[in-house]
Amino acid sequence: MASYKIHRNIKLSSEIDINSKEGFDLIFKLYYGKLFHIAKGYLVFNEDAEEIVQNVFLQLLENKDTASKINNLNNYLYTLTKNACLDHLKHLKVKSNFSEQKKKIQQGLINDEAASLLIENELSKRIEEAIALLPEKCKVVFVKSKYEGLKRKEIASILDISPRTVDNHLANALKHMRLHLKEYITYLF
Amino acid sequence: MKELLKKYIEGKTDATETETVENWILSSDKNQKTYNILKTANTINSFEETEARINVDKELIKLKASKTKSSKSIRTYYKYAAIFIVLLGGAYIFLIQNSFQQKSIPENAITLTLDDGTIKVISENSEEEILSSTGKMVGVKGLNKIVYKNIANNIETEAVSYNTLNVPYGKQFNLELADGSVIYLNAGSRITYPTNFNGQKHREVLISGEAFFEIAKDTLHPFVVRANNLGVQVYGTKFNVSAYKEDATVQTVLVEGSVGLYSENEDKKTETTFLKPGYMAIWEKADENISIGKTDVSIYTSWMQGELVFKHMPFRNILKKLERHYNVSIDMPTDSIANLTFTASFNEDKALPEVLETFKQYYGIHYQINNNKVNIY
Repeated sequence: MASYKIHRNIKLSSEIDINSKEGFDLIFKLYYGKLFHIAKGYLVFNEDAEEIVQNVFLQLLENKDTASKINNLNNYLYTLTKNACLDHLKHLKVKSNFSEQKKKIQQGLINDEAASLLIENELSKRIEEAIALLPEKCKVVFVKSKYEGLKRKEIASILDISPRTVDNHLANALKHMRLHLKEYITYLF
Repeated sequence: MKELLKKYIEGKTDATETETVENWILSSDKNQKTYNILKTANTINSFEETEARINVDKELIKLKASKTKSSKSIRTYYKYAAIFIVLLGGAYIFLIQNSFQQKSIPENAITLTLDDGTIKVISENSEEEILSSTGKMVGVKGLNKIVYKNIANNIETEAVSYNTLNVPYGKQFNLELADGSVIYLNAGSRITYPTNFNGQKHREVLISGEAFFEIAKDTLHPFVVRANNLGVQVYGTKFNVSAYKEDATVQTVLVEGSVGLYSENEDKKTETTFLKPGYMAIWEKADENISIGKTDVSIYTSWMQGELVFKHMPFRNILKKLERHYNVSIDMPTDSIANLTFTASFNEDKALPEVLETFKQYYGIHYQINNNKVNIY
């Protein structure tokens, strides 16, 4: 299970992730839909889930210092989302269309550690699958930066390429993902 | 019970069934556990559905927009299908006129002109109600944003009224129209719009300056943006329209779907030009000719993220952008410098001296800053 091993070592390299637009955008594109889906499952209403996940990424952007010390990005983002959902439920107004009963049930769901673990593992698996679809060179650079926590200069010297090429590979990965994202047009409104 | 539980998780139970299921789940830990497992399985099995339905690019833009404006998140759910940008000239003229007419209004204030001509100064962080001339509440002003209410049905009595929003240099502001369309206004912009769209065939707004539009889809009522003599009609898709006052052209960039451009000029009104995604239409203000070519759409949305992006842009246009962005006045250098074209991009939060220093280092342009005045030589 080589791929599994990669996962236990997820690290966020501050230099690439936060300061390079490509790095952050790639993380956003990899995670947004999945975290939104999870939050939606916890909260039932799309609007709240959307706001919560946007906030999770805002926190990631704003906490540059902490972010560089994160060892497991997957776990970090999932935990932020989960806690935000719990917090949201806790502060729900009595008048909201969320009944007291429903609230209790959803809190029971989020606090169920076994269920949480299942979701988190599924999230890891899906992220890994998405990364596997990236072009070879991009994949190597991306895994080295995001999952092994190497700095772009370190990656450059290991792969014997320039730091600029490292950035280019990340940008390419992003372009590649863009092609795979389905376009969405509302016909419903 | 399992069947009912499944139905509940899919959100298909009626009120009585919901009550039964919820009581059952809460009656024991074991039952809650059963629900947790089924619900988790359901979540895992439906990841793809959700991913197919959302537009990540759009969400990313929203994130960056909310980051630029304030650290607090803004409400991010709107029913819309069309996104486009209008960058237009003429803003300064309006601003200058206004500042002459309304001596009491500070130059650097965001203002709202009501349909009876009253000009209100908009403070950026207080909440207040926007009233129509008949005293009816038509909208609410919140943090960095005005939201108009959709006043339904009994509208026969309420005539259509127009408001005008002015955003000075160095500021940005948001607007949500009664139909749910959202408009982000960049520095030095002005927009005139109806406070409600009831009984109107078209949803029409008049714009000068620069704006990012998220238009609510409504095929029965096309959304029309009018800029100078150019009309841009939205057919429920994504696109950018950009034009600079200092440019001789208005540029429209289509991201996705379809957009129609036509001249407001009577002689040419019959001709509508349609755009393909990834293409830009350049409209000459002088002779109203339209030419079409391929382009990079991301350049035209970068300001939403607080970035400054210049691609093969004449230095005089770059300086004009800097003036608006930093609310400074820049003395135009001689033609030989002003006509040079440069390519550069700057992240958000870059201070003006840093930007100018970059031009100095890479292109040998010299500068001097005195208070809010900049000299280039």
